[in-house]
Amino acid sequence: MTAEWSEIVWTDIVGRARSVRRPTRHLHEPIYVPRSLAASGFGTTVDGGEVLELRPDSVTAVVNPLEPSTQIVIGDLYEPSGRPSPLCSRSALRGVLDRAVNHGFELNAAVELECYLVDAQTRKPVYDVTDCYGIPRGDQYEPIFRTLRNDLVAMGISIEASNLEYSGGQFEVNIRYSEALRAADNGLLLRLLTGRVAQAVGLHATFMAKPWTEQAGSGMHIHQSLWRDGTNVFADGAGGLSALGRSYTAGLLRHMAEFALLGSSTVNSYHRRSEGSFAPTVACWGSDNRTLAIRSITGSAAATRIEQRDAAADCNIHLAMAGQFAAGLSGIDEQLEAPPAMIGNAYKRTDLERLPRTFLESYEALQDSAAARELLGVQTVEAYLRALEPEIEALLGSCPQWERDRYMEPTPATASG
Amino acid sequence: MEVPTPGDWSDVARLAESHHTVRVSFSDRLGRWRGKRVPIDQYVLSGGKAAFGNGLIVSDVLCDVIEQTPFTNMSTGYPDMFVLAQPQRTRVVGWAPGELFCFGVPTDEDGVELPVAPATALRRVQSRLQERNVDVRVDFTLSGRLMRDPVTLIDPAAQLATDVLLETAEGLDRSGVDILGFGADPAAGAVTLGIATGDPFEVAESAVIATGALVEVAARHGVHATFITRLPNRPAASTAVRVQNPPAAPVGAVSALLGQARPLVQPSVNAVKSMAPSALYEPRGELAVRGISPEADPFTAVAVVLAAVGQSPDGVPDPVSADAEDFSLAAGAAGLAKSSWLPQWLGSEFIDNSVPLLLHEARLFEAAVTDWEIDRYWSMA
Repeated sequence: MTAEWSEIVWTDIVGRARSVRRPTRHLHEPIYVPRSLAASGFGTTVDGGEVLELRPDSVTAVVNPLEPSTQIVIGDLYEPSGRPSPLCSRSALRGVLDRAVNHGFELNAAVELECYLVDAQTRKPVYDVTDCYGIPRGDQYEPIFRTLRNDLVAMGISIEASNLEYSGGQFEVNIRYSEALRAADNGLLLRLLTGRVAQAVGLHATFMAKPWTEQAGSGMHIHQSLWRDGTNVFADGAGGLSALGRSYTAGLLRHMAEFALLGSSTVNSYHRRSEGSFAPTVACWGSDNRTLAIRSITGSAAATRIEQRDAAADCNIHLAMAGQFAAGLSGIDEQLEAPPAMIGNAYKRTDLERLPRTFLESYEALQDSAAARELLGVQTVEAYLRALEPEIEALLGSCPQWERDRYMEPTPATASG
Repeated sequence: MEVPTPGDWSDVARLAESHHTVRVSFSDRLGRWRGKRVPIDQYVLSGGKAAFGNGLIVSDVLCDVIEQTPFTNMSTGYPDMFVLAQPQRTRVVGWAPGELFCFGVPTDEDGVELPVAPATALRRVQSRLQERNVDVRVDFTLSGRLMRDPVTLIDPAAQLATDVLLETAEGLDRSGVDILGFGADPAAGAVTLGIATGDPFEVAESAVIATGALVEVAARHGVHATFITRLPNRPAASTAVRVQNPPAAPVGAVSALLGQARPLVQPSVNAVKSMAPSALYEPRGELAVRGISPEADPFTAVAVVLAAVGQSPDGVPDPVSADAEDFSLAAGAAGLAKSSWLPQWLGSEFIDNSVPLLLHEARLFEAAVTDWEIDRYWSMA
């Protein structure tokens, strides 16, 4: 039975979910959205009255269990010319995946997303002690996470697990791998539904990269593998990573620094990229080691994959994936050789390429990147940079409490004690 | 009551008609129930295997992992450890309808049980006893307190406490945990929950499950279950392990050996503010050990008791401290590092990784300025 209403979900260039609702019977009539909205960054809008066409991708239609009269459909943005818009990151991802198909590969992927549940009024985490993987404490939040898991499963999204994450109030939900475009869509729907399920019980879910100085950041690890004719070509048949997988890894490493902005799009997300945080600070890879930027997870052939660990949970999922997949595929195109797998504490390595530690550094790296323009399209990269450019002035012009606490001279009363 | 016990994965799959989630679980070094909640179809699909960061098996009470832990630190990069659940050990969560659980022993990527896991240490002790043709069974009485908030204790004899305990016991019964009974320790303000006699490993696992059940059921009643050993103006709460059919074990030697293992069964600066663990024979010949902190991990507690029982016929190989009253966590940990017999029983990796954590705990306390100090010394001229 067709749902009475359709919610067409799309993302702006920085990855925020937006939607339009209309009766399903009118779903295939033209839907227009302002170009300014699609191109806007954080707290800024772009001038202009032009519109883009939002076309529902009907294969993504699925009834929303939270609202059974409504189906959710993910949409793509098109220019008036009828071509995919450079502001449509889903189309950018599709373009990269088409390249993989042209090489005879299918890309499978999965995202691991972390978030905090916070009190909607105080914005404080729902609990404040560290209880990673804690089962009894998790029982208190099961009304939320059971609903979320079961609803996502009802939407056809395979959920592998959920658990309490490291810091107080932090949670993680793991989605099973799937074809890469679907994996990105699944991540988008997970973020959307988590927010709605939390809201239904008076809480707020935030995927912000680093909401508190003293608490762990929230990341989005992207697991990725290449398949050909049903065989995982990252597996070498002997429990290791194949030569092809190593070339792919070399591509990821080559572009990791210059593409960092694609996965870490806010000023805040660079607070997460610090020593000891389990977010990487240098471009390196190896086997199972959480201080590295890339883990190769090997063993069974089907499960062999690459996990890139630098993206933040609040990034544009489709664009971050597009960047990583394009980088990896370029490594295969150029038959790059990965450096030796790293062993030990990557945070102590000063001989490896350093990843950007600030928004400004990261912005400049992408701005200077010819590879990004070549692999993702000039217009897409320029649009992304334009949307984020106001962050620079906003950052430089801001005076956060931290600076007042640190630099304001003590008042005479305080000074005299 | 009849508890459904699946025989194979197809039986588990059939439980999907009435259950949606499986808690794939392990017990950490302090006996806390940890794991992931897995949709039942994924549980079957994955063959019950789940990966976890391996730091959590050697973390401190606030999940911090210290660099001095040889098993894992930044240099190892905290690789994955794995829990492999089994269909035959998959059970219903009797107090949470729709959920199943299964405990597995943490392993490395090759399926080798981690020597730092308390469950592995207990298995090692059991196997050493079997080599000596000693077959023992134990029971376990756990002790905890129900509190409204950090200062308001709920009378263990109050109806609310009874309601919480009854609901917990009934839930555990549905999970196949053989509950001997529940009651109160009024002096300590504690509630008690007894696990009936059984195989030591199964009893220890049941104690972990019961602890988690009590926490969850208490929370649903709006109260907090805590296992802290000492509260102000109260005697220490104490967990008891009773060995049902002990070999000829000289009770003095068992007590002396338990004293040398004290930081393992009194693992915090609060827990050591109680009497030293000691053993005595009860009228029917059971060997009862008291003085085990409720903060102690049940696997470790049972392993230490059985190791002391097993070692006692051979005497006490290490020098016995003259003054148990002068005990501190740091001194106990330093003594543990020199133990000649505990590494043989529980495994050297287990001891080598426990010592730095116990010293770390003691040092954190030494560095902390406490409320007690402020209250006592603030106005000193």
